[in-house]
Amino acid sequence: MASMQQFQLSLHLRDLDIHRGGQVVAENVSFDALPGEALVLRGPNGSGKTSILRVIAGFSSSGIGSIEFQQGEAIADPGEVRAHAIHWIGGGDGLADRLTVNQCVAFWAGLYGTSPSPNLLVQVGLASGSDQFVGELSLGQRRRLAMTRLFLTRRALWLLDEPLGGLDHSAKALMLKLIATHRQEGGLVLMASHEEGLPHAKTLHLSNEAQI
Amino acid sequence: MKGLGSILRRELRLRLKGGAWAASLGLFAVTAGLSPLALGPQEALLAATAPALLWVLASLSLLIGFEGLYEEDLKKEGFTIYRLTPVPLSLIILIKMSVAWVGSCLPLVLISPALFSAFGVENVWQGALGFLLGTPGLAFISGALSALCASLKRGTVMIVFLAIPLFAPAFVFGPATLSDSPLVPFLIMAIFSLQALALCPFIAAAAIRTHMS
Repeated sequence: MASMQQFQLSLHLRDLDIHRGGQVVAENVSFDALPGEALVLRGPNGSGKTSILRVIAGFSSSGIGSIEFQQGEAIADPGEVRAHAIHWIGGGDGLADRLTVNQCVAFWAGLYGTSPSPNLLVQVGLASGSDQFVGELSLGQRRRLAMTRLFLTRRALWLLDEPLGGLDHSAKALMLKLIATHRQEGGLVLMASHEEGLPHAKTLHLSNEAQI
Repeated sequence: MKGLGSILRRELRLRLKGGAWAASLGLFAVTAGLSPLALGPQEALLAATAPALLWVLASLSLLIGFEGLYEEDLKKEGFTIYRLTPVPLSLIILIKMSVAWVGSCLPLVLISPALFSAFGVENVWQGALGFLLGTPGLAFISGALSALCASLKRGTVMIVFLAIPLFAPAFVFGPATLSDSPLVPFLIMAIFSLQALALCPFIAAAAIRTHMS
């Protein structure tokens, strides 16, 4: 397994306070995620799962505490990591209703500077609807389409916000397989989920203290 | 920088399919075309009022083309994807604003010679050039305000009220581009647009970051 490792990114959170809408939703969040590890953020709605992912992605700032990315032994520049090494799958996924599936994939490929493999849509089970407009897709199909980004460019850290919601059995199996393969290659997975976990993953339980 | 071509293609496609450009063009053409009914048939009066009238109508018409410039990407995580790339957010927003100019302002520039000549104005091409130099400034200002109001309900109304005072330089010097000595108004319109270009993408990017946090 070690020979297959390609990614060396690790993530270290120390005593982080997570805010949302001016309120503290989680306090003293600390964890380390090393290459090949997965961490599932569990907790009820409103407990700050997504907010933690957003802080790691750099969309919202944290109050106290620190986030550190390391590339091997060296400390990595968070800006560089966020520009090149993070995948976000969150449900919206920038899917514009007025584009077709093909246009969407072509846009992502151009954005990441790669070219999609010809059977990419077959791999995610969308081969039949490549000229359909995204607005006509079902929820599950939209999430399958979002998964194509994981194939298009390889990035070390995956931030997944409820990635299994709305998926049927085969899509769920595909997602879990992708996650497992990614971890074998040394990739990191952080997943916010209120119901399902991942095999061989660490779990961080978030309570709902901030709510009355 | 890789990816810029793809971003431009996506934004242009979405903008042209959105139909906001047709609303701007239609409003401008219809209001300008019907104004003579209110002004009356005196040719001298029509020719004298046309520059000011068309500038005001164009400014209002282009504003409705800036509705919803960022909403979809804010709601559906389009900006989430964009921000996890090396492309600066302000550059992405500059592309969005420029595409909105192509959609909502360029058609106005293109039909302005026809409208100016219908009103009996002599310096028709000066008027079109004035529009070409000045409307980018209006577009960048509208784009920045649209970003500031992006998470408001009825944001469009807010944009209109906030934008009109900021359009004042265009109302003063825009119509002056049809005068007999247009050089200074031309330069001022160009400076107006360049200044908006230098500031507005950064203001809008800061606003979008705030909306996302």
